[in-house]
Amino acid sequence: MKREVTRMNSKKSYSSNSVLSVPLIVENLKRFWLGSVLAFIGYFIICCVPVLMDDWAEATGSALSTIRIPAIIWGSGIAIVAALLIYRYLQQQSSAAIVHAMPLSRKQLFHSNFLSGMILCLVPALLTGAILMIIRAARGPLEYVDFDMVKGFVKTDLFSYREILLFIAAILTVMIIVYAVAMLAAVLTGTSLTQAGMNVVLLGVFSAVVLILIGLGSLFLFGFTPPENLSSLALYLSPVTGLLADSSWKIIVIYLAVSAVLYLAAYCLYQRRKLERATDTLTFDFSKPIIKYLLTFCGMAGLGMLFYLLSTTEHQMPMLYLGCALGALITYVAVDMLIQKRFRIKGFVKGFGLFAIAAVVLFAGFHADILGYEKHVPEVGELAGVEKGIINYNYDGSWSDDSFIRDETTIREAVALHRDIVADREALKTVTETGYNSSVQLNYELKNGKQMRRVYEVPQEWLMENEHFRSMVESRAYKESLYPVMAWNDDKVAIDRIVLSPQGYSEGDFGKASAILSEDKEIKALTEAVRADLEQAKVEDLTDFGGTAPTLVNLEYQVKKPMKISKEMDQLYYERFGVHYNEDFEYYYISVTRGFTKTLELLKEMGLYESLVIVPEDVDRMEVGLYERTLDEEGNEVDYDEPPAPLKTMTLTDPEQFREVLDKAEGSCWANRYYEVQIYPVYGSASAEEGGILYLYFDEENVPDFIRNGMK
Amino acid sequence: MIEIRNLTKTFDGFKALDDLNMHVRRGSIYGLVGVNGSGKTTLIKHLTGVYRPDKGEILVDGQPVYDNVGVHERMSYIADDLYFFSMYNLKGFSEYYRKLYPNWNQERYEEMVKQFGLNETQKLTKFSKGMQKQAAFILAMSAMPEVLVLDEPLDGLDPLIRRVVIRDIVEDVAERGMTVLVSSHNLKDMEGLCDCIGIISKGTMLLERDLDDLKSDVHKIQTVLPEGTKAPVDGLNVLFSEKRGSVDMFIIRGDGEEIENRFRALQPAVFDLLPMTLEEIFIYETGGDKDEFKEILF
Repeated sequence: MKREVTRMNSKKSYSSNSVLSVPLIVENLKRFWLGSVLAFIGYFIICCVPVLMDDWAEATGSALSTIRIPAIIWGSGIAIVAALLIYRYLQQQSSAAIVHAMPLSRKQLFHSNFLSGMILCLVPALLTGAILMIIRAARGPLEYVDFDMVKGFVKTDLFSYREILLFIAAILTVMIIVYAVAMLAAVLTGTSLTQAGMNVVLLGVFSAVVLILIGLGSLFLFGFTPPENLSSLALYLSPVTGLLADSSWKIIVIYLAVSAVLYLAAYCLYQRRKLERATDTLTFDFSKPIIKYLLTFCGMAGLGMLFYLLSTTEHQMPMLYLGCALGALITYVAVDMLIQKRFRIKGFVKGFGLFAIAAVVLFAGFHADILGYEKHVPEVGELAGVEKGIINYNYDGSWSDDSFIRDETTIREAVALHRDIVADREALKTVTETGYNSSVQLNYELKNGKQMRRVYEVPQEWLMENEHFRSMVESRAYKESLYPVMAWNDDKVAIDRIVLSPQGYSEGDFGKASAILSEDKEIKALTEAVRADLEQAKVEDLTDFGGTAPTLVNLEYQVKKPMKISKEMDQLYYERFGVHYNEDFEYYYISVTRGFTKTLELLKEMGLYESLVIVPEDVDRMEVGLYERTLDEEGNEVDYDEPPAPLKTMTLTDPEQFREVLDKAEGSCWANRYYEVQIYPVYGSASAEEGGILYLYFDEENVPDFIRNGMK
Repeated sequence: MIEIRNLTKTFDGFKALDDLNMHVRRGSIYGLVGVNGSGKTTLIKHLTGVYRPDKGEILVDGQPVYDNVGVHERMSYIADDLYFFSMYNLKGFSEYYRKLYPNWNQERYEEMVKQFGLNETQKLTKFSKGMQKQAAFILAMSAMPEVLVLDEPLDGLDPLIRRVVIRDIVEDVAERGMTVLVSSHNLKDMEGLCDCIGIISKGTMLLERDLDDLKSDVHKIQTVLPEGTKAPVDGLNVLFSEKRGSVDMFIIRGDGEEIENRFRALQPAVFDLLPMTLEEIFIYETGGDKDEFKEILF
């Protein structure tokens, strides 16, 4: 039979100019459709099944966001697996040769494979979205009522079409960007195994590097607090964590734009990829040092941090360096072996030497603070405010829209305190967690809109002796930031009642009971006394540091909420929270110490003092113990396996001695040698085990003579 | 039809192809012979557009091959190391090829499947190596290529199938003017199939000859000349000479008639112009004593 070129049953070719190859796309879909089905089943289980369950409707505030996390993780996994399957032909010599010898240009192969992968990944997600829409249409809205201080009640449909759209858009986005990353990984690597590993590297290594830098900053730089944008950067450098944290339209658009950039990068590399590099670990020489050093850096820091965390305080830094050295060496050798595909790696001395030098420079840079981070203190003129709650005490940031103190005196004192801390940093750096330190948080708002944050761990004793700290805490602006009662406009703020709680751990142990003031006159009188005392209060009265006076009475201000809502909304509020909003209060607390003389005097006048504050008549006996803390080489208190035994003990029974103890003892004590007084009530059945007794303390300086002498 | 000029390729500092030149005429069957590692497969992967050359050019019908769909549509390639999509059978693969190759001939495909007796619905990965080669051959030939590139195609085929494959190739060359490049590490495989041979060694083309020309151009002479007479070989291209007692043996390239006339003019006692095998020709053409040639010849 004469053979001629016939075109029977054949079609004209897809020309080399076309971007896509329809036969290739169709073939890919035919080959991998089962994966798509599995992806859909997964989505259905993750997204649709919970929605169809009855109790899902009871969900509060989270609805779709609860299924977003597994859905995004599932989507990411699907995209990675799809890329592994579709680009597997690149990772074997035989398949790479056959596929590229076919009448398909590299352009067509790249674009068609991308599109095939996208169809395989996105269709199940789109189908899931469609099903969610149908469920939404069938079941109607899922309303959630939230309360906003400004807007009042806000009704939200947690299962609106818009929410579903956003939910599906987030899943599609994560799949698009992860697929783009996975495609880049496929082009950069020469085996399926390294392709899988490269996905993890590209998706996680940049976040890891930022987190490591933050970790190193925390370890080496005194006062280091990562700027918020740096922590966010670590989060958003990986699209998976980024979209888990925030699936807003803005983030979606940004990630889609990044996907386009990754796509172009992968396309350019695909065009340049040498097929003979199939089965190599990495297919581009330029990527070898980048990947090798990035992973070595992570390995170094990872093992260093692990050693640091697992070692005791005094050995932490040497162990950190040992861990870093071992981590760097192991990771470098392992990665280089993998890249070179041989046990006896070439160029080890030069390659590792370069890294070691860079690592030494980095650590030395942190040590020497070459960027001047530790020394930097802002000028007062640069600042617009300093955040409330400088010492992490009695502030929950809830009672004001503005969380910054903008008073110039307070700002000046805060900066001066900051300067003192920096000046004394070498001594303060050695301070470790002993329980007698306080965290000083200096969060500045700069006039240029930026923020500057520092957090220092400073001994309470040091703080109490610092004039700027004292001056700052005793300033009116600072007090007002802590005690809004000082700045309330009495015409606008409706105090419903003040609940006075007695001294001691529990009501009744000392025969004490709470009191409630609800008469306007009484409330006004007590508030004025409190204000006057707060005005005059010293640091000792305003902090609960060691060496400060014990709290005698706790005041709880119950203030009617400034905004009333309709009965209908109030009922909705009740159904959700179990209380009526219109009958609910806002609560503010003040600890009355013995420095609140006017308040205590007023309580006496009101006849409430004795029912709230422990007096000698309430005391059965006082057991006094002399203790000495056991310190380690660095002067820090050691961890005790059992409570330390007293050096000496004595029992007090004289009411006059009771009075002196109650009037002079401290609420806590930071001295190494101290006296602990266990006060046993006349009433009740308190015992040390049950915690019903009251503990007060003395140091050597202020201990009454009858105790000091009694111990001799 | 195929023109390769100054092709150079280096892998991690190793020169796999070094300034290589090759010419394949349209409608010819070109045998590319070389020992393992000589660069045959690398050359073929350049010719099929898989590899991008570091230097030089590869043209098919005057068009560059690399990333040129137009050329690839007219070219079929059977690799030494075969690859099929997993889970695919011959039928499924043929459907894919049918969409890719514009000259696909379904009738021929069906005819060849019957001819080789392959089960179209069995997974290709379950086929034996020989059956996979047959499947690849069916697909390649059904695409009705103008250029067929075969890398060690006869490996793993039994003699009967081998004959059928060779027959089909020769028929297509004769009937359609198909150009074939076939590689082998053994010259014997090429005899009776190729009309042109190229020998590749260490990435360079040692020689490239048309077999007819080669056979008519190289002559083996055994002669006994009168005592004291010097052999009349001045000015001739003597590839090899040897004297055993009174008998002189020469391998000479040149015009046979002229050579014979020269010798006969001396009235030798004995003069024999002996036939040469392809192996012998190549031994003498290439210096013959190199180990690598022994490998491809024997």
